[in-house]
Formats: sequence, structure tokens, C-alpha cells
Amino acid sequence: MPATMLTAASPLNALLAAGSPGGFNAWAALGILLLMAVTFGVANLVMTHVLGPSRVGEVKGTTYESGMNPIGNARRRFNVRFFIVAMTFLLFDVEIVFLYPWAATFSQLGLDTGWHTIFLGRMVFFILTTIIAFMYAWRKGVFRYD
Amino acid sequence: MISAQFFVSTIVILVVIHAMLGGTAYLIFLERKVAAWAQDRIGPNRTDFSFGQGDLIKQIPLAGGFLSWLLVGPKALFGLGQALADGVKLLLKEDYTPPFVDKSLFLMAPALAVIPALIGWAVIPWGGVVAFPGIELFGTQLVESGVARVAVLPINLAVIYILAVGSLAVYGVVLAGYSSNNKYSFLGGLRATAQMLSYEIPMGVCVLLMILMYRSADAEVIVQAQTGELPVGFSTAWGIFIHPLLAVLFFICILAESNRAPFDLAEAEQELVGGFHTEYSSMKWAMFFLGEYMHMITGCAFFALLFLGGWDLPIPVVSLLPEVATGWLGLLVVFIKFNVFAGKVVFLLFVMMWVRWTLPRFRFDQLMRLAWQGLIPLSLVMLLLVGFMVFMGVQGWVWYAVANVAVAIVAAVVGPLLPTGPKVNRKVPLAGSRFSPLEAEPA
Repeated sequence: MPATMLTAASPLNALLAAGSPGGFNAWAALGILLLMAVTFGVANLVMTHVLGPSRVGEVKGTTYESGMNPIGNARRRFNVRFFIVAMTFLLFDVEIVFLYPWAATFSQLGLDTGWHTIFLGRMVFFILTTIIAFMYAWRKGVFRYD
Repeated sequence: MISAQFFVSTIVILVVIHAMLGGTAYLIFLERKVAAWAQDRIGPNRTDFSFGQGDLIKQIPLAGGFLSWLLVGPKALFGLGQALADGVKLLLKEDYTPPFVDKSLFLMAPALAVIPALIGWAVIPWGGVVAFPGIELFGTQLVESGVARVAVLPINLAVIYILAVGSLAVYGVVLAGYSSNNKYSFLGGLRATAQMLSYEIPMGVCVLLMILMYRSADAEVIVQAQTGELPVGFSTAWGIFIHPLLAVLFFICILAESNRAPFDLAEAEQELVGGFHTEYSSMKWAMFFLGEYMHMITGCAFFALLFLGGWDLPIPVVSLLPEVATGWLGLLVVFIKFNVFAGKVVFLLFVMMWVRWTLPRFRFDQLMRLAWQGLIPLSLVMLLLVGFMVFMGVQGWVWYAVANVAVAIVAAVVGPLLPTGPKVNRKVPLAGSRFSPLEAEPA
């Protein structure tokens, strides 16, 4: 929280100065919401199971493949590109998660302190390593879907 | 004794969860109406609340006329009964679990699609901050007085919470696709996963940059920064004016994240029948759609929070609404703030539907190319540029807007000049077809 925010004595600033209100009262409401969400999900599943009719049949129990007789099942190998995309996603996502605290802090550092430059250097180093990996993946044709 | 924050949070839950569930039902109705508007049709306008029993209701002695006026109305209530009728119909349909599926995962998937969607909006600051006067009844203090935020979860990591819970949505889709043991479902699930993962990166970078602007991940601080109430330095305008390019990128990303057209490849009817929900029926099927529409609401609220000033209602220069609502009159202020926020969300939802009926669906390789070779490099360039601008101590938000426009123009000019790979959409030489006649074939 930048120091400038805390000067005025308004109720908002008092609230912000206290930071994240921890403890039971802050999180209990989320617990209620989570409980309602889970109840809603489960109740829907149960209700539709109980209320609807239920008939089984041999043809009804086959896999839907637009009317053809199904050939094998769906548990088979899939294109490796999807796996590589997932790996590349991890590379970026972890980096972005590391940069969130950086973003919240960076613009609050004074221009006269040396920390300013160090923080920028850290970000640039992070981004550049990622860009190298990104360029490598690009040249390798990870993002080509043809 | 209950604290003011807990009391306010509970009220917010009760109001918003009903608005959310009712809103979802009527969003589907609205979607059909917008579709009808886009296609020059009338759309659903027949179903009233009598559900086909209008004549029977008229027969009821004494109250018949009144009930008929209430439930049917002169113009069948413009088809407003449609949403309710759809819900009842879906509940009464057969809930069929095919014998070849992975049963436990198959059952879990719809619940996993709905639950994160229902808790994702917990940190949205619907009505700013209220100085709650407390409730005293018969001499006992039931609710403490105190300052409380009109949000379910008053934490200072709001933005990160939305991203984290929003990412959980992918599990419902993946599990539905995998457990169905159907090739259409499997392909739909794979596509949806790749799409959601890919668009999460530029979305994350956009959010990162907005945190950099507002100097906080706290939802309330973000809104206050945009109203100019807090001296945050550079941010005294709505986010969409500071970073217009990022607003566009972010909107594209929330479209893709909620699997909306033109990014609805996961359920592309023409190629994959129903995509990941091919094998689902009845309410289980509908739960995926409930999840999708709730994600749209949460995504639009997120957009309104980051870029449209949250509950802020400006006349050109000053914000109209006070930063903290005090006393019993403050409840009116909170009510207005809530409605302003909801109005922005509804407008964005309308834009989403408009986009759906305007743009054709992407092909899968175009989708991935847009994410990995378009949005991600662009957002990384913006990150480096804005990082350097903050480092140089640039203060006015106008300069950031100029930088955005400059990057957009440079990207538009340089983009087509970049070397491209081999043409993706090449014709398959099928001998004898009208594209490659037989005599053109080499001997």
C-alpha cells in the first residue's frame, strides 16, 4: 500500500490500512457461497436423476458416432501438439504468477532508490528468458497446426 | 454478534446468487432474442407463465380472469415464460448415463463446470464500501456497526482470486471430454483445453499490466484508482482510456475463456456434433451452459472492474458517487452503485452476444495462431514497454494511451511483413476434382 493512500483519515483508508481483513469473518461468507454452489450442483444432478424417466436399450447404449457403428473407443493416442502446448503454457503461467507481486510493488518504488533499476532488471531478465524459449518453440513449429 | 462485513457479505450472496441464476436463465432468452434481432426474426414470444393451460386457468371460478391476466397477459408476456419452461423441461428429461462412460468422472464433470462459475464472482466489488450503521433489536446489538465492503470476499488479492477460480473451469470441460469415451467428446475436450490454456496467458499479462497501473490487486483499490479518489499517480481515468489496446485483448481473452463464439470450437456443431457434451442429457447437459453463462457474467464483471471503472458513474470530469456510503442513506448509494455495475455487465453481455451473431467461428489453427503468434507477443511487447515507461517515471495516463495506440498501429503495419510459414490452407490435389482436373496431373 503506498504511503500516500494512508494519509487521509476516511473510513476507506482505515479499511485499506488494515489490509486484508483476515480471520473467520472475512472468509465465512465465502464458505457459505461455496456450500451453496456445491449444493446447487449436487441438487441438480440428483433432481434430474429422480424426476426424469429412465429407459435403457441396446442401441441406446452405444457410442454416438453420427449413426455409424462405432469403431473402437476413444481411449487412443492423441496429437502430441496438445501436450507441447500444455508445457509451453506452464512456462508462461509460472512466469506470470511470479510477476504479480512484482507488478504490485514496482510502481510504488521511488525513482531515487536503486531498487527501481534492480526490479526492472529482474523483470526484463524474466521476460527475455521466456522470449528465448518462446522463439525456440516457434521456430520448432509448435504453434503450427496444419 | 455478527460483524458488519459478514452481514453485508451474506446479503450480497443472497442478492447476487439469485440475480445470477435468474439472470442465467434469462440470458439464454436474451441470447435467442438477440439472435432473432440479428437474423431479422421475431424470436421466442409465445410462452407465457400458464404453460399451455391458459384455457384451463380461465375456467377457475372467481380468480380465473385475474390469473389469466397475470399469467398470460394480452401479448403472452412477450415470451418471458420461455426461460422457466426450458428449465422445467430440462429437469424432466431423461438423465441417461451411457454404459461405456467413466461413471464417477462423468457425474462429476457438470458439477465441476458449475461450482467454480458460481464462486468466481466472490471478490467483485458490487457496491463499493459502506459504513454500516449496525442493527440493534430489543436492546441487543445484533450486527456490529463498521466499515464493510459490498463484496462476498473482502481480500486484497481479488484479481488473482478471479484468475485462479476462473482457471478451474477447464476441469469440467476436460473431465467431460475424457470420461465420455466418445471421439467427438474427446476431440472437443482437447480443443477446449488447448484453447483455454492458450488464452489464459495474454489474459494474465493484461491483468498484470492493470495491476501495475493501479498498484494493487485489491478490487476496491482498483475501482477507487479509476475514479480518481485515491492518489495512485498516473491512473485517474477508466482503464479502457489508459490501455485501450489491452482492453481489446482482454475482451478477446474473456470471449475465449468462456468458450463463446467466435471461439466456441469445443462445441462446434458442424464438426464435433456437441463437442465435450455430446453424451450428456437433461440437466447435466444444461449445467455446462449454466457454467458458460455464469462465466460470461463473471468475465464481464471482471472487465467492468478492470477497464470500465466498476461502480463508477461519471459525468465528464468528476465521479458522481461518493467513495464511502455512510448511514442509512448510504444504502441508497450502494443500491445505485450496484445497479451501475450490473448495467455495465449487461451491456458487455449484449456485446458478447452481438459478437456471436456477427463473426464466424475460427478454424482451430487460426485460433491457436491468434493466441500464440498474435496476442501473446503483443502482450509481451506491451509488458516490456509499460515496464520501461513506469521505470522512466511517466505519470500522465495519456502517454500510456498513446503508447497503446502506437503499438497497435506498429503491429498492424509490421505484422503482415513478418515471414510466414507455408500456407496452412492448401488445396488437397484430388485427381479428377474440379480443382485439379485430370489433364493437369503430371505423367
